[in-house]
Amino acid sequence: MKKKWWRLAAIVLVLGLGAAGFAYWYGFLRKEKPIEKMKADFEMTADSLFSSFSADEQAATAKFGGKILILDASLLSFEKDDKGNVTLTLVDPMMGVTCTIDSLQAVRQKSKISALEEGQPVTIKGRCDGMLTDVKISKCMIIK
Amino acid sequence: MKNKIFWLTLCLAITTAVGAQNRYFTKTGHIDFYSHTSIEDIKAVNDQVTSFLDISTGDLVFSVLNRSFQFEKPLMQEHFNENYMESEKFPKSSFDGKIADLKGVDFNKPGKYPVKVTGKLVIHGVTRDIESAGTLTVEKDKIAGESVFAVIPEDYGIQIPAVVRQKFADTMTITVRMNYQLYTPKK
Repeated sequence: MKKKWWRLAAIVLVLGLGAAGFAYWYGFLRKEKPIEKMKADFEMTADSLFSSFSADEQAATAKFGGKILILDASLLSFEKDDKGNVTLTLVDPMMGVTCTIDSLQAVRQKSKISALEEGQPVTIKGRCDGMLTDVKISKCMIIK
Repeated sequence: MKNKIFWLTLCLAITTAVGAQNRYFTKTGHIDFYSHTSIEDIKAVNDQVTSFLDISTGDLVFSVLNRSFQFEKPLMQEHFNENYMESEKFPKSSFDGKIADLKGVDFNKPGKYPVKVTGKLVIHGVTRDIESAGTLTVEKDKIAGESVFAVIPEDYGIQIPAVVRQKFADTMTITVRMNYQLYTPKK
């Protein structure tokens, strides 16, 4: 009987430690899943994404907000800021689609970024955050 | 609705800027907020702020998407968007105001000028009047603006459960940094 209790206590202890470890990892150690490993929710052109937001911003925000998109577009322009973030402008300089490659991703994609040319077709993957004057895509990476 | 009005205001600002050489803008402005307690430091950064500055009137607007704030820890970002800012319901935060003491800035002379900014700050669907000190740094065809001010989350209807309130400072320090370029409308 006593042996059974010890066994039960050991199981509870192991499960408790496991749960505590998981909670610690989930809250403090877990890293954001890299964009490369995220499954895209939608694949479309940057033009049609902007058209959706222009037609009905609220509906488009509900549909695309926080979602992972793969966008095809012609690269209008690009610039690097003093922190190393690279911003790609698609569709229109003011009212179009703006994709931000953060500085860490920019280092990883150095060769693809240095090969960028205005006017070239690009395929971008990133998270849609919503619309200001332009549709904002963050956590971006260049697919091709 | 308020977000839509703000968007339309920005569009109007753009369309009426045709031919004008007094409007500056950025789509990559920086806003961060910081909270320090002995338990935890919390910092989030947003480098995708859209802002317009009209140097003839002093009008200043900026708008941010709450989802674009990046935290060090994914769990913090999830709590920020889902529990505190309710980003699905209130996707944007904005400021609409003026540089109150515009006469003290010579936009033809490069230099760093102290300014006072007043206006309405909208966070979590709540609008409040704010006033803050800042600086404008004038260069050729470029203006940099910077301001640091404090906000109390509860003033904007952001409810933080008592069990975790001690992890957050009473006031959040907001730092705003904009590098404006001269707005040149499309011909």
